[in-house]
Amino acid sequence: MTTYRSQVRVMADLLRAVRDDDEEGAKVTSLLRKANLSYSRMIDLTEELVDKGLIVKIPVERGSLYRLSDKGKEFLSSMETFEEYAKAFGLEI
Amino acid sequence: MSAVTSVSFIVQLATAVAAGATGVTAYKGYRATGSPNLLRLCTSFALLSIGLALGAVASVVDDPVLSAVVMISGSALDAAGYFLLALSHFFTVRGEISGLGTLLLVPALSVSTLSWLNIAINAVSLYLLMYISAETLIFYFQYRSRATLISVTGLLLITASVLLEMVVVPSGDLALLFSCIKLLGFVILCSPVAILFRHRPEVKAS
Repeated sequence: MTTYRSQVRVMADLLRAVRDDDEEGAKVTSLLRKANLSYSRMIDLTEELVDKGLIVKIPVERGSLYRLSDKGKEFLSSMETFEEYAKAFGLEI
Repeated sequence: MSAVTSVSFIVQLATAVAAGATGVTAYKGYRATGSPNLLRLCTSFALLSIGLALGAVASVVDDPVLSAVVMISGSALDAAGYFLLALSHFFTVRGEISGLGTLLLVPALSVSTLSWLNIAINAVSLYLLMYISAETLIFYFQYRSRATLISVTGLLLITASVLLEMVVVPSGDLALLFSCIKLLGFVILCSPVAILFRHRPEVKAS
């Protein structure tokens, strides 16, 4: 049985992927692999998350690195709590 | 009004409050995450809460015609609530309404358009409750979450109460017993709120 990933869940997966490499900053290649997204989809989504202030884009010599902002950390924590709540009803967020 | 009717009214009203509490928590979740499934969960429990409250009011209304109208309206709202909950499971597993899975929801829709009689509406609710319980049980076997198993217990109690109300045609003490079973089911469905007290989420995306 395949499970559908909603937009909210894709966003949560991407934020989790950024959090995993938060100390030195997450690379695009790492995010692509961990969040299981296509390149164009991931670029659109990271721009959206930067606009919302959930992640911070750090320009480096070759490309960019991403880190969670404080708002992003709190939002992800909130998301994970309600993810657990929804799961109690047999639902995904 | 007899003592049994009064107690039954209070129990049914408490059930409506329990359903409403779950709806409010799901709404907080929707506000925090923007999840459409949490919005459906919230709307579903809001409809159930109103439906259950109407059921309680119907039990104390003296006029038989008015009582029947209120009862049927309440049952219809209950069925709509269970339908939305079933739809949430449908979206979780399949992502969109399409293909063979749609056939699982067709009996519920066709019965509701054929007749507005209370028994038919309760049959729709029963069918949807069995579907929701089965999907939640499958979800439990996938993730082995204890909170999901607790919800399955609540759903099975509500299913049992709806089934018993249909089969036995309750009156007096029996009706009170079935209402108590339903109340217990909805109180158990409130228990996942404990998850929020462990984490205390507050921030929203935009």
